[in-house]
Amino acid sequence: MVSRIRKTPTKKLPFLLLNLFQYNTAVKKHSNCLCRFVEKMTYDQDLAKDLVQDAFLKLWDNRAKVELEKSKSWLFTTVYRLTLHWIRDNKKTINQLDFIHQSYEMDNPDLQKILAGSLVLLSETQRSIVLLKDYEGYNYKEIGEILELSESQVKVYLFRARQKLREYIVDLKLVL
Amino acid sequence: MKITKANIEQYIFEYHEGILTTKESNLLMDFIHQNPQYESLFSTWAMSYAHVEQEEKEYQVEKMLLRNPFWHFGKFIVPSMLFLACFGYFLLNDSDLNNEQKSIKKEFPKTENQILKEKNTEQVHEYINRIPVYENSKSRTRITPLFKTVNEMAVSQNKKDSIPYFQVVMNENPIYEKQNSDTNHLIVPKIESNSELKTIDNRVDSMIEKQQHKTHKKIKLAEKIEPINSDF
Repeated sequence: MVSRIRKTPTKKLPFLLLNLFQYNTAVKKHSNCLCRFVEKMTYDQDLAKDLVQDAFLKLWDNRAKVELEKSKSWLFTTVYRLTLHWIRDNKKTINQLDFIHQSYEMDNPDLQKILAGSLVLLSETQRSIVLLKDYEGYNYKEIGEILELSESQVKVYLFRARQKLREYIVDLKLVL
Repeated sequence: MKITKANIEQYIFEYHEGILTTKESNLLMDFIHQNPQYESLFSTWAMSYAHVEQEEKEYQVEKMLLRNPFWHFGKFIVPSMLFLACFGYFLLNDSDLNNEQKSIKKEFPKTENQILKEKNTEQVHEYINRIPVYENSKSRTRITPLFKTVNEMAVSQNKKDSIPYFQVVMNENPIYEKQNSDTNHLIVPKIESNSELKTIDNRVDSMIEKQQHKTHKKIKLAEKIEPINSDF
């Protein structure tokens, strides 16, 4: 007989949840990197600020549910979802963003900045994975939790994203 | 697993990701040395990794997002400080009191006024219960004793204040009995002799006796008694 162990719902201890001071520390720690993440996704600084503000408002509303340790990943997940919603609502595609990308590239001829600009070529998922991996230093498992993907899926997405970026850099070198 | 042209990119990717073991990475490096055409591939893969810029941007969103506790709000600075000061002063004073002082404070005897007040209120309540109520069943009038409020009577130590005033009130539902019975009724509750009651005023007992005596004579009262003074 196969016995199934039922998982009992664990009650979250109140001291593990966010309070006012912990919320403020979360703001101080993560607001900048969240803004950077959204800006790299949308190439719009003001929009990035707005979306991050929305995410923190949601965090404040759900402070009774969110655990302190998971607050960063929770914030990234919400910001990612908000960004995707915004891109879908405003029908911004890679082609439409190309213009922004070009202007971004012209102003910043540095290789790292070109690379940051070339993220436009990637899909939203690929871009967010690259950003989370390179800028935030998350591992596959954490990225999977944020974007609701399996570890192997994250790995495949990342491999394809890097392949695209590499090809873009090679093309640029040939042109220059 | 052997490194071939088909899977070289996979190996380079994993090498840069840091997933490869030392043995596998050594194998990869040997393969690249043996096949130098893959060196450019190796270097371009390395370039595909974005790095965090040294000078990070400050977005200055913190001010908008930070939530201050209630005592930081401008409106509440003064009252909260006052409250804290008062609370602290109270705590300090309270801690200075010894346990003996506290016990003395708790068992502080009642004042004479308080005792008198309590006694008077009890006596007044007893007295009220014993006051007779006059009724005229035929007429529309009813005579009821009107007191000062119990508290007023209790506070004033003057015993004259406890004498009742009478008020004439219109009877809303008069009881019409037989035409011949023109007599007035005096409803007197049972009076229990109480020696303590006499302490208030001896005249009260004498009043009741007089009233009882009068009722035996069947006094006829006017059918309508209209008070001249409203405060009668």
